Amino acid sequence: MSRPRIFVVDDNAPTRTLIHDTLELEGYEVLSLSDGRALIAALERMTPELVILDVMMPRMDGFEVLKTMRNDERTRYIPVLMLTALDDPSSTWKGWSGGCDYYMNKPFDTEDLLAVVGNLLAGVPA
Amino acid sequence: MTLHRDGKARTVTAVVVAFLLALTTAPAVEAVGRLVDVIVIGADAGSAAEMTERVGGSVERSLPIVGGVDARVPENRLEQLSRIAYVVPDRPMGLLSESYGGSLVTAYPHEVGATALWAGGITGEGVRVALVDTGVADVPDLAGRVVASANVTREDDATDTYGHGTFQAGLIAGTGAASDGRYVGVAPGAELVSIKVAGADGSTSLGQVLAGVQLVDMAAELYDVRVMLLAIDSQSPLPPDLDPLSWALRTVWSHGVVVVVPAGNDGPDEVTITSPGEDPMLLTAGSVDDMGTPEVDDDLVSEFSGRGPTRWGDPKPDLAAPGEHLVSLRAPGSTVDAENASARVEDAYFKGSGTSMSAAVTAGAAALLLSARPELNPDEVKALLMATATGIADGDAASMGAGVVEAAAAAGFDGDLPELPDAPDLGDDDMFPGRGPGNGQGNGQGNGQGWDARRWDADEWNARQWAARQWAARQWTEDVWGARQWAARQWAARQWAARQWAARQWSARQWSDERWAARQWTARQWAARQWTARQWSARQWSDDEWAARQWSARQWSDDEWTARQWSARQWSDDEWTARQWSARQWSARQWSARQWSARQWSARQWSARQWSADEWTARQWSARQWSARQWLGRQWADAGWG
Repeated sequence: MSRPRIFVVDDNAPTRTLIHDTLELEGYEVLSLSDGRALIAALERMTPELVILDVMMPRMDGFEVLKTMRNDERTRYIPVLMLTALDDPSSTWKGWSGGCDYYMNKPFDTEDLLAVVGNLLAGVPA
Repeated sequence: MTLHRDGKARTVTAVVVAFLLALTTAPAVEAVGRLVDVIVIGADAGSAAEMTERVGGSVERSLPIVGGVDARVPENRLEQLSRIAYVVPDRPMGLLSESYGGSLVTAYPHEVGATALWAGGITGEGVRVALVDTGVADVPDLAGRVVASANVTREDDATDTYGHGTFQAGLIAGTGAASDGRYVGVAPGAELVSIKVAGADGSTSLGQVLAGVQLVDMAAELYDVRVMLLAIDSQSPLPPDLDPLSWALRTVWSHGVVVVVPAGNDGPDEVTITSPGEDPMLLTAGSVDDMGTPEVDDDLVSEFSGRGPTRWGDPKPDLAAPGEHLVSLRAPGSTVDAENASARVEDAYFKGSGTSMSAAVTAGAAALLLSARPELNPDEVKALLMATATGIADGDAASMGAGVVEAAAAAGFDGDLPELPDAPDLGDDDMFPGRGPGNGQGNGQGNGQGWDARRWDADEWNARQWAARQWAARQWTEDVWGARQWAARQWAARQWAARQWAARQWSARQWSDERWAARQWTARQWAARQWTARQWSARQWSDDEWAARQWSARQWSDDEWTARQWSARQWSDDEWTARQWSARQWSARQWSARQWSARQWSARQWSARQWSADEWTARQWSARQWSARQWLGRQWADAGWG
C-alpha cells in the first residue's frame, strides 16, 4: 500500500522544511513547493491526498489557489488544509467559504498539525 | 434475390450478435453501477467519509454540521452502505415559487411595528442576519450592508443571478437609498451575511443547502450572526427528527441564531406546511395581506399561505407577517427580473408575494427585537414574538399561528417571559455522576425555571434528533441485529468514549456557561489548549490515571456494556432522552461545536485503534519521534515563521 501523498505549499523555506520533515517523519510522502503556481503545475501531473496551503505567497496567494482548485473538476475534491498567520474573521471566513477543509493558524504545534492531517486523511490508509 | 437474401441474413446475424454482445456486457455495466448523489451520516464527518469510501463511493463535500458527507455512491452499494450509515438522497430542491406584481400599496414596516421602533432609534443596528438564498446583487440599497458573502453553487461568484435573494435582503435590511427612503426594509440598520445556495435557475440541492447552513454556523461564531432566513421548500418526505436539514438548522438555533422559515405557498388547504417550516423548534411564518394599511385588524390571511397542522401533527405556523404585494429590491438582469418585467417599481424595486417574503419580514422583526434586547436567546425571541403577535378575525391558529408579528410590542414587553416547555424529568443519572442539576455546574438557576428551562428545550430537541438518528441508522429488526451488532457497538463505543471522557475531564472546572461561549470552541483554541503533547503526556495519559478514570474493565466489558447500554429498554426514546442526552453538558451547542471540530474529533481519533494503550504508545509517543519533533520545533523557533 503506497503512502498518502501530501503537497506542502509555503514560500517560507524554514516553515516549509519544518512541515515537510514533520510529515515525512510520520510516514507520509511529501512534496514541498514554494508557491501557488508551482502547485497548480504539480497538480497537472499528480493528485495528492491532501494539500497544505499557505496564504500569503508571491505570484498567487492561497485563496486564489483554493479557488482555482475548487473550480477544476480534477482538483475539486482534494482536501485542503490552509495554514496561515492570518487569523482575523474575514480571512478565516474567506478560507472556509472558499471551500477549504480546515483552517489552521500559525504558529502551530506540530502535534496539532499531525492530528488534523490524520483526520483529513480519514479513509486513506497510512 | 440471393444477394438480397444473403444481405438480410447478414443483417439478422448482426442484430443477433449485437444482442448477444449486449447480454454479455450488461453484467459489467451492472457491476459498476449507476452513481447516485446521497448524504451519508455517521458518528461524524470522518467516519461517514470512511464508510462512503469503503463501499466505493467518493466524498464530494464534508458536512460536519450533520456528522456526514455529501457523496456519490454506486447505486448497487446503497443497501450495504445503509446498514452502517444513515443515508438520505441528495434530492434537488428549490426556492418557494413566488408571484411577482400586484398592488403597489405596501405598509409592512408600519404594520409590524418597525417604524415605531425606528422612531426610538432601534433600526436593527448591531444585529447580523444570515440570508441563505440566491446571493445578493450589488445595489445602492444594500451598500455597506453585506459584511460577508459566500457561494456554494457552481456559479462564479456570490452575486444574485436569480433575483430572490436580493428581494429578501431588501425586505430585511434595505436602506431605501434609491427611493429617498420610501421603500425601506424592516431593519435597515441590520447587516447581512449572504450565502448563495442557488444559481440562475433557482434550484439547489440538499447538499448545497447543508453546506450553506454549515457556513451560517461558522458565521455565527466569526460574525456574531443572530438571525437566519432560509426560504426554501425542501420537499422532504421525512419528519423533522429524521431530516438532516432540520438537524443542521436546530444546531444553528442552539448556537444562538433565530432560524426563520416560511410556512410555504401551498395553502389554503389544511396540512400544507412545507419543510423545513414543519420543524417545531424553528420560527415558521405564514403570510397575511396587509391590505395596504398600517392597521392589523383588516388583514386577511393569504390564500396561498401554508396551513397547519404539519404532517406530523405539530401546530404551525408560529405566526404570520405581511407577505403580499411587498415592494423590495430588484436584481437587474436576473431571472426573476427578466421574467416579470411588469412587476418592476421605478428603476430599483420590484413587487412580490409569498411566504418567503413574510418570513423575511419576520426575520427583520427578529433583528429589531434583538437590536433592542440583545440578551435574548432564540427561544426567548420566538416566545416573545409569538406572545405579542396580534390575532386577526380572518385567521385561526392553523392559518396565522399566534397572529401577526409586532416587533415594537415584543421589544416593549415587560412582563414575565411566556411559558416554555419544562425540562424533561432527568431522574437519577448514575451514568455521569459529575453532572446534572444541583451538582454545582451550569448557571445555578435551577431546573425548570428561567434560562435553564429554555436551554433544556433546545437540549430536548437535540436529544430527540440524536435518538431518532440512532434508530433510523440501524433499523433494529431482529433479523439484522446480529449482523449489525458489531458495527453498531463500535459506533456507540466511540460516542460513549467521547462522552465519558468529556463528562469526566471537563466536569467541575470546564463547564461553566462562560467557558462554553461559542468562541471557546474554535478549533484553534481547542487544539492549542487541549491537544498539546505536554498536557496529554504529563497529566492525562499515565496508565494509572487512564485505567482508574476512563477504562475500568468493569464499565467497558462486553457484558457490562450489553447489560447497561444496549438493552432494548435503554434505547427507547424516553430512556435515551432522560438518561443519556439530558444533561446540559451535551446540549446542542456542545455537540455541534464538537462537530465543527470534527476533523479532530472524528471517529479515527476515538477508534479502538487510536485508543488502545499499546497503539498509542507505539504510534504516537515513541521517544524517538517526540525528540525529533522537539528538535524540529527548536529549528523552527530559530528560523521564525513566514
